[in-house]
Amino acid sequence: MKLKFYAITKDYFGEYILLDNNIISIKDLKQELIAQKPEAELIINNCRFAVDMNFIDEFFLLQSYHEVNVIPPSSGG
Amino acid sequence: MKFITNQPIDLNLMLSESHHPEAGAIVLFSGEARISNLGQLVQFLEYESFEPFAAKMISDIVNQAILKWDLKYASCVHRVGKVGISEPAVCVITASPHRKEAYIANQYIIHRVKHEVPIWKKEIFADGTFAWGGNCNCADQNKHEEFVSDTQAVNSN
Repeated sequence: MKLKFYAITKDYFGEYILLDNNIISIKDLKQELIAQKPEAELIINNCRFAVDMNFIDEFFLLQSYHEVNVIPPSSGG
Repeated sequence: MKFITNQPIDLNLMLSESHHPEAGAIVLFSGEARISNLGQLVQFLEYESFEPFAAKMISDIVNQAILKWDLKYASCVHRVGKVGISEPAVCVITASPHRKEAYIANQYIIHRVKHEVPIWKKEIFADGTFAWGGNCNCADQNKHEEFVSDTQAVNSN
């Protein structure tokens, strides 16, 4: 599974990472990211996640071929 | 219509494109880079976006406002990249027969764009440090939803 990061999350993880783990949910994904970067826990817990330009929720079944966009809180304007 | 741009926003051009024979009111909001924030001197801003998704979301928000308040014209452009002090980072224009709908629809659009659309601001301070986000005084999600709900209710008053 490929993850793409933006803004402050990019400062922690870089622009992309690949995960080989058997991650099937947003909950699993958050736990994995926090395990990799414990200092990013607060921001990860406030992120939204999107696949194919749609926000996904906790019930979305993640697949290995998905590119997941990790979207920190918006701050436009 | 362009919703995200890496070029300077031309407010005069945007305004000139917004006139409509049935619109007696045009509201233009320009969100501009401030020289200070939280007591620190700001050198410039840098915006980043998840561009195709951000453009789609802004388009949807603008179209929802047009339908909700029967606007004769509406547009919203957000800049990405480096934005100098006093330069527009975002512009929202709404045009309607009377001013009430143009004002409230304009607030609705900028509020949702700031809170929902995947665009991020980085403030670069004069001392060389930087900070992500931090422009919003009402980041609490409940307050955001309350605002959107309130502005939508105005239509029925």
